[in-house]
Amino acid sequence: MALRITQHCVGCWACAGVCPNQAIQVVHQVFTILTSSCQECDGDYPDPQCGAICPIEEAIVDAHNQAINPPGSLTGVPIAVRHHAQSLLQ
Amino acid sequence: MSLSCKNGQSQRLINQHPCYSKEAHHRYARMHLAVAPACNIQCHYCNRKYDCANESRPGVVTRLLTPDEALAQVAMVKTRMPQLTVVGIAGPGDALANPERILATCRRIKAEFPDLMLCLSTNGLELPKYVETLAGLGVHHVTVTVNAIDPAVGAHIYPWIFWKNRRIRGLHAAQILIDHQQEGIARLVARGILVKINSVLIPGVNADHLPLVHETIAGHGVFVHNIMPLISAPAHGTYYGLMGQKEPTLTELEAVRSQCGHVAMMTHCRQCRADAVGMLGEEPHVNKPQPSANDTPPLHEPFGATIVPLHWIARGDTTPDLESPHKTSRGIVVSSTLPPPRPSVALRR
Ligand code: SF4
Ligand code: SF4
Ligand code: SF4
Repeated sequence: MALRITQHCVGCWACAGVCPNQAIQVVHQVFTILTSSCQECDGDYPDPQCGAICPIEEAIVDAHNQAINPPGSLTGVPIAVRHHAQSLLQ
Repeated sequence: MSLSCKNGQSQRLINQHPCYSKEAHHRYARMHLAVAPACNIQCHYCNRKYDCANESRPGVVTRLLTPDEALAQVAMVKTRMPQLTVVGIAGPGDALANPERILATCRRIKAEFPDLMLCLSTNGLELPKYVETLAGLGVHHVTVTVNAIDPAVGAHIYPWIFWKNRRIRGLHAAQILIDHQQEGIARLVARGILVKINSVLIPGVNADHLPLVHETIAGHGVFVHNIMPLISAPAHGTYYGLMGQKEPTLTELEAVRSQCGHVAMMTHCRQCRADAVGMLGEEPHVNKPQPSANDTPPLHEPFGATIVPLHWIARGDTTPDLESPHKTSRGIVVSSTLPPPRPSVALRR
């Protein structure tokens, strides 16, 4: 049972400072979670700390690839609005 | 400028601080150090991937400095620009969400350069906890961004905060943030640390509320209030940008500012980047961002446009001259290594 950081991560450093187990590693702005050090904060906190401070939806997922912060859950930007904006930029 | 500050020493220090004194901003220089990456709240006007438009925040595109590197930068700039008086810790995230990094940096700079004024900016969430530490370190100015004193208003600006190991949302989150800001400000003032308040004017959200914010913070004895216009270009990918939130017009900005007269208003702020070095008003339009469709030029003018990039100073390309601050000794150097002005592809990952 460990969390994983995805391609959505923007490298904001917030998670690295709150992990109780120093499980989050940073190399050249690429953030990864060491599986062997992460117990999803079990026993330390009710919520996984990285998931609770991460500002980016879908940047952290659980062992079943379920996003801790699914689309629409943090920013409040409706998914349709975001997709529309993305399509305009591409 | 008229200031509510009674202490003569503070008055002198204000007079030498380029951001706070209209007189000083042509004669003294300041630099900002990007040592604090993380942030513990979300503001609707901020895209955490990029330069934040409203706080002095360079975003993750800027290379983060370790405390040692920060000290080395200060030493280098101080050698080349003796008029350096102020070192600010501003971002890319919240200074106090990164306590070890910023405290170590302040300690090192203070030991090496006791005369430099240290300032930092914060969203205020962790402020009460650190007032004593900051006072002990000799921090002289703290900027707190206060956009609301009413949680009903704040909840439209801050979707969540990270507090006591939890993500907290809505009214409750805004209430906690506001309470900590107000408590922190009061304690800073009581400890003799100068406090500047930044407020972002968001039409339809806090425009009518800001005069009350102004009155409240004036009651705490802060020395200057800086009301800044919201920047919400859609390309920046912020909540406000994507949701079509309007930026204020110059008239709206002036209207709000004119209702605020209890402490000095800061009108020469250039919303500079956290890796800024140099004298405000010194450098024309070098890394001026491409204006986006709804930018109003007079308001947004110099996001970063007043900055002498650090690598110019390292190369000796510019030695800002105390007597004629509008000239650099070898003119303006446009460098391809300047940080990207504003993201135009903010939504691409
Ligand atoms: S879930 Fe907890 S232990 Fe695992 S990486 Fe996140 S903060 Fe660290
Ligand atoms: S908090 Fe989220 S976005 Fe920031 S570095 Fe960690 S995983 Fe990436
Ligand atoms: S406090 Fe600053 S860094 Fe944090 S979300 Fe707000 S503007 Fe962005």
